[in-house]
Amino acid sequence: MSPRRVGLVARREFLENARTKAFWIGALSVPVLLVVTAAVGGFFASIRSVDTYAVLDQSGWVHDATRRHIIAEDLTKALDVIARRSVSSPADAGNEREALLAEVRTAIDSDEDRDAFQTRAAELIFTLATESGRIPSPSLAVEKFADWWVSDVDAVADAFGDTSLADYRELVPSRLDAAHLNALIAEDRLDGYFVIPEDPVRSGEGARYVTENLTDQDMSRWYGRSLTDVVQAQRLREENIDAETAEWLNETISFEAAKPLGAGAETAEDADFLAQWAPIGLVYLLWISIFTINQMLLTSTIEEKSGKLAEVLLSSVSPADLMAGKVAGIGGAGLAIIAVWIATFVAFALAGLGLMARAGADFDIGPLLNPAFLIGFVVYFLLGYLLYAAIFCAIGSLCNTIQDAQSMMMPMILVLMIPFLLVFPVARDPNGTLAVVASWIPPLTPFVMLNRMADPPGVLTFAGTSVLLAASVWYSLRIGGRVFENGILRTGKPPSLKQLPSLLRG
Amino acid sequence: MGNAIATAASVQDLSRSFGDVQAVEELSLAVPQGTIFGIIGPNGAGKTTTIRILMGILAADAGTINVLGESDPRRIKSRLGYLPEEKGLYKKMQVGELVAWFGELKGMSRRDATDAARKLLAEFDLESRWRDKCDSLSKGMGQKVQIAATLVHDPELVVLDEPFSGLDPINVEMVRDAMLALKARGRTVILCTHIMEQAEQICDALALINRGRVVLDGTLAELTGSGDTLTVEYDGAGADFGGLPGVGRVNDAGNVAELSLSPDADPQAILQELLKRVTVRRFDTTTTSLHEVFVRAVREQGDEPLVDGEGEAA
Repeated sequence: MSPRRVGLVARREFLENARTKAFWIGALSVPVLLVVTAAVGGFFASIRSVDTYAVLDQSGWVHDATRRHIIAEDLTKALDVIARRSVSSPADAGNEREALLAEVRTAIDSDEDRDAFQTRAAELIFTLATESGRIPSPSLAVEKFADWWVSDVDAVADAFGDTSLADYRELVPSRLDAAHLNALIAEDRLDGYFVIPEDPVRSGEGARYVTENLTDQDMSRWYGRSLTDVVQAQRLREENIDAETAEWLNETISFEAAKPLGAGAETAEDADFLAQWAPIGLVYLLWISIFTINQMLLTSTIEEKSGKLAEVLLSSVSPADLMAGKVAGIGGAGLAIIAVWIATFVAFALAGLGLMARAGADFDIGPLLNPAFLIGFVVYFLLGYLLYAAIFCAIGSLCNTIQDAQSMMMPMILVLMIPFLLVFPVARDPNGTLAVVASWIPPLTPFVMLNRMADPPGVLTFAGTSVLLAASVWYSLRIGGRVFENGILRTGKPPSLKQLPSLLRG
Repeated sequence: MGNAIATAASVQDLSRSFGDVQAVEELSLAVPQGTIFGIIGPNGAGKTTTIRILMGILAADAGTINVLGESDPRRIKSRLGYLPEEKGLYKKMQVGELVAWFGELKGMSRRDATDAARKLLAEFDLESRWRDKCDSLSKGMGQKVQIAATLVHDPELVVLDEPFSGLDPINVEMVRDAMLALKARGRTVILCTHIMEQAEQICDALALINRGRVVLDGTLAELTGSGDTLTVEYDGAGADFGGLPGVGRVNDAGNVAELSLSPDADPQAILQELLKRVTVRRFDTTTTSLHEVFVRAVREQGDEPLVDGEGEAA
């Protein structure tokens, strides 16, 4: 084999592919998809309407209690964000809102401070909201915060996207009667209103949600949950069951996931779950990469054969040089596409992480960027690509058209579906019998072993399966090379199964 | 051919089969150095298999090969040039890039290959198409680009398989001039064709192949002899040439007939007899055409010439 000639063939194949529209469409599809998804998501988020509601409370007290409940829930979420948030940069300090949040953060330094702050803020917000007033000259952090919460609801919703304010707002109309509320709905100024019966603690009968849009029940479910909490609390009180007992009665038993660590066990965190499932994405990417690139190889081989180029090439290079050059060149083009995908993914992940950090979210994407996964991906890509490349090249050399290839590919497609179908069973039980057995079947090894990296088997398993896979690659290239050599100059229709052995003999 | 003449390529008792099809059987020939050598025969006669073996693309089942002093042509691919019968181009490659790339494949540096490509494309009037994509070329232009790619590395031995197919008369002349120029520089050219008239015009020596065997070989003069054929142009469809004195085989094409003469034939007597049967417009003593030589040689061996395509190898 001549490395120089292999290099020349590879260079030509790479450049030819890199000049096609398909290459650029393939390379840019993922970045464009991510950008479009982000843009569309952002667009829909930006145009998301806030639903308005009113409440006809015939009980006289349940809605107020529900209001307090909702304010308390929202405050819990907002103070969580503020507690995690870093607002120490000079740029932030110069911003009035950031300065306020920094002040609140200082005020809720400990859990006790936070509870006290939340109680006081909730009371102030309830008062201000129900009386539509403002604090004349707020001086304390809690006063400033409550004043801002009530007077600039949109800004609060922007700052704390998880709170109900981002989705729902209460409208307190001048007249609270059904006729007026129906008129507001008709004028499109109100999305719906709730009717709370006289004694919901006794019975919920008569509770209604009036709206034109009966298909959208999100707001009804949300308000109903808060109201139910309030009513249930009242029922417990009336039955003289204290809150702690009620909580204990309602407590469900759930198992906390944990990982074994030394003598004991360590609680599993989000990152552990991510690490467990991260290889799945890589396995799918591996599957798509290997078969997309091999499809390019198949097409290129058929084009070379049907374009009458094979013979003139073989007068300059050996069949082995030609096949190796094609495999290397098209593999390189495919790798370039994957590199763009991975770079885009990493860039988006890091950008997303930055945005989440700025928003106060604490999320570790470290497991996705685990070097072991990336190294495993590259190694298994190369071995898997080469294993299948020999077969695709051999099939391409026997076919004059893509249609010929399709009929010959049918058995291959069935084989190719197996790793795809194994993704979830192996991910659920990376060291189960199925995963262990499949690891030792070379056509499945790249996919199954990459999947098992979430809970890696021993070094011996890695070494053993890799050696077997490498040997299969060598054998596959030999056999594929033999078929390629004898097939590329064949004319007429593709050989029958009976004729295949003669192609192996030459 | 005398032994004193150096041979650029030779094969001895060459055999190759594809499954049940015997494409070449105990074929022997020698290509004198510095000549244009024709390998002639109908499609499927074994020409392409023979030259594929000479080019190191196929292996022989049996027989010995010598190409430029080397028994394994795969080792000297950079000294060989090959234009196959079935010609194709990378459609999306630029003309200049493609010709230079083939030069690089043959061992030239990129700069030398580019320079040689420029020069060669200029000779073929294709300099202005340097940056054009190959799929924008006409069939004739594409053919010339392929020939340029075959010659870019100045090979010592060039095999051109049906190089004139698809070319108009002007381009035929251009390619023929290129072949003669190669010969003038001492290069050896093997012309493979099933069109005998083309071979007659340009080849110094030939081998006639039928059913995988050489049926006749030698220089053009040796093969065609002199003055043993009468060419008659006449008017009168359905003329009867039977029973003419001293005339053997008749190859009647309708308006022109070739009459093979026996050694003691008298052309004057034949003319007198012919004038009684048709209106003669031309009466000429010529050498035997290659076609006629080929047919005779095959029949002398008790065989029939292969019909084009009959023995196409797998």
